[in-house]
Amino acid sequence: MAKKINTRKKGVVNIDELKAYRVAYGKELGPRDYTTYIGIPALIFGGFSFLLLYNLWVSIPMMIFGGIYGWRSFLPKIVRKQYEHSAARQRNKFLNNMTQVLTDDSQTPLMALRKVTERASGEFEEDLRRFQAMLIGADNDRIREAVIWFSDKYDDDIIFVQYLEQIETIMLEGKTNIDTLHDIKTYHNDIQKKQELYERAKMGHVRDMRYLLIVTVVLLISLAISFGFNTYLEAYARHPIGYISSGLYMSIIMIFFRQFSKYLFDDSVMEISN
Amino acid sequence: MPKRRLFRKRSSPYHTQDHNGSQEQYKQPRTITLDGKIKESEHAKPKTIWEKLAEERLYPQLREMGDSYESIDAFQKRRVLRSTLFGLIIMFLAVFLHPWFYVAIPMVVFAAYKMQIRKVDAYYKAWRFARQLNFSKFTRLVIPYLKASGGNMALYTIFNRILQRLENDADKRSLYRLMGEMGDNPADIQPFLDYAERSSGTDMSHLFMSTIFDFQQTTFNTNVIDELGKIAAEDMMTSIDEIIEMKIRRFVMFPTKMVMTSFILVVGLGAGLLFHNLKDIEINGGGLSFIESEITDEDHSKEEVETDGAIEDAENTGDQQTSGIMDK
Repeated sequence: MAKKINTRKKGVVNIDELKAYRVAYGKELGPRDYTTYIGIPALIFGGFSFLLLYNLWVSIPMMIFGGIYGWRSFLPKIVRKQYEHSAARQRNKFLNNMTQVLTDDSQTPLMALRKVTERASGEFEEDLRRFQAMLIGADNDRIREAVIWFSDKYDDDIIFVQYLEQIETIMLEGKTNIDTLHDIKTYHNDIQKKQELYERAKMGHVRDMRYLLIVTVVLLISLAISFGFNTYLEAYARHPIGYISSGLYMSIIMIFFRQFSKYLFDDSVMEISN
Repeated sequence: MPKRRLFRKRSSPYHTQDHNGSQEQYKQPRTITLDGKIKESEHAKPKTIWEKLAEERLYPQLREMGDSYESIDAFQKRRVLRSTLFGLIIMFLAVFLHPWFYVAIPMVVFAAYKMQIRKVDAYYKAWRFARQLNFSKFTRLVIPYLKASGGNMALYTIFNRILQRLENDADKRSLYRLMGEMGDNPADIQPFLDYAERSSGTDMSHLFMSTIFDFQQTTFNTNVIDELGKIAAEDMMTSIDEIIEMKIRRFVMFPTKMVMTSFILVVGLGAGLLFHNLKDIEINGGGLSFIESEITDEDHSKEEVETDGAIEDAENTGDQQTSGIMDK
């Protein structure tokens, strides 16, 4: 598993890395994913430019461009988003299960970890196993090291890191903070809920955007036929004015598209990035 | 905008000199009153022209984030210059393309100017959030220890244990300093408030630190501290809501933008059609005037004669003039 920060910094990932993300929680990249996430941008770019100029020599390169854009930018983001989503779900499950098990006074943190690990899946399960292995027979420094390793790996999820710190407290000082554990678990659940609401709101905007695209297509077609198709071709599509205004339009739309997908894939509710 | 990491670790007085050495020159003596308000005496420094130009909130915000007055002035200067530059560009467009662009100048300048404070606001919000989070981390570390000991363990011992668990060096130094000051002056609340100011600066942090101080001095009941922890977490939830709302709001303008962009096409098509028809009119127009003159020859002969006469007159005078010139 490559360190996840790589993708975020460079914005470009190779296909193996993508597959690794997908496989981390048990789903492989299928042909359907490729067709959807590469096909849609290709269709949008190709289709729009065709409706504007009715020139295949423009539309085919635009289509290829859209496809490459989808492949290099869209696909990694979608895969990453799904990866993050499953990982967050796993963490949430871990927090809830762990808190429940720890409420039982007879359970030590290690026993609880062992129980909870069996219920986890995918990459997170492996990490839990490693964490457990690091904790067995560890002295205080080792415990701290293990916690730091684990929390470094998931440092995006601050509440989760706080929870790990509480587990550390339990291991160092004994069970004195069950209430705090409960609190943190509740916050994690709340944030998870907020995240879902955010996601739903974003999907609503995606739906609006889809309608808008359809409306725009209708507009383009009606523009083309309103004065007669031949007039449109002569006066606009085969005329420098048409090239200029269509070029301008397409580049602005492309900027919007980019901006929109940037906002869409901004999943973090804990930070603002510009 | 001075380059800064969005999530800079809490800025402690140990490294406030990150921009230039002259920061300390303007460092005002800060007095923190018991109710947690900071009074910063501003008498020493007169306001620069840039500060007068800026929005009320700009300077305090950037100051709080640890920028020196010089770097804020520089930022403000850049901001004004940049928006002026945008204005100049539009002015060129107005001179060379169309006078209508003159109307756009003030709008563009204003928008360019305001865009940048929005960026600062967003940074500030994120930064505040990060600090709040940092402090809530500290509270979460402290509360279990306090509850475990039931007030029997000295705060110094608790802090010592936390000290070993902190990762960040700046945090460690800050806490270490608090411990040192506590040892020097056990009955004084000031070190606690200073620490709150260093690590978060929010009202919440002042409240929490003073409660810890009281806790150590008198009570052995953790209820208040529990409550405070809850409040801190709720604060965090509120800021998460704000962030979500802000992020959702970014989508709202997209449909409008898309529709506005479609006007480019409509205008383009209109222009295309206009040119197309103009060409037709030129061709047809030439033919029409020819036919028209044939028809009107009979109907409006009188008028024609009159105008013809006028044209002839004009031509005559023109000829005379030209001949005059030719003579010379």
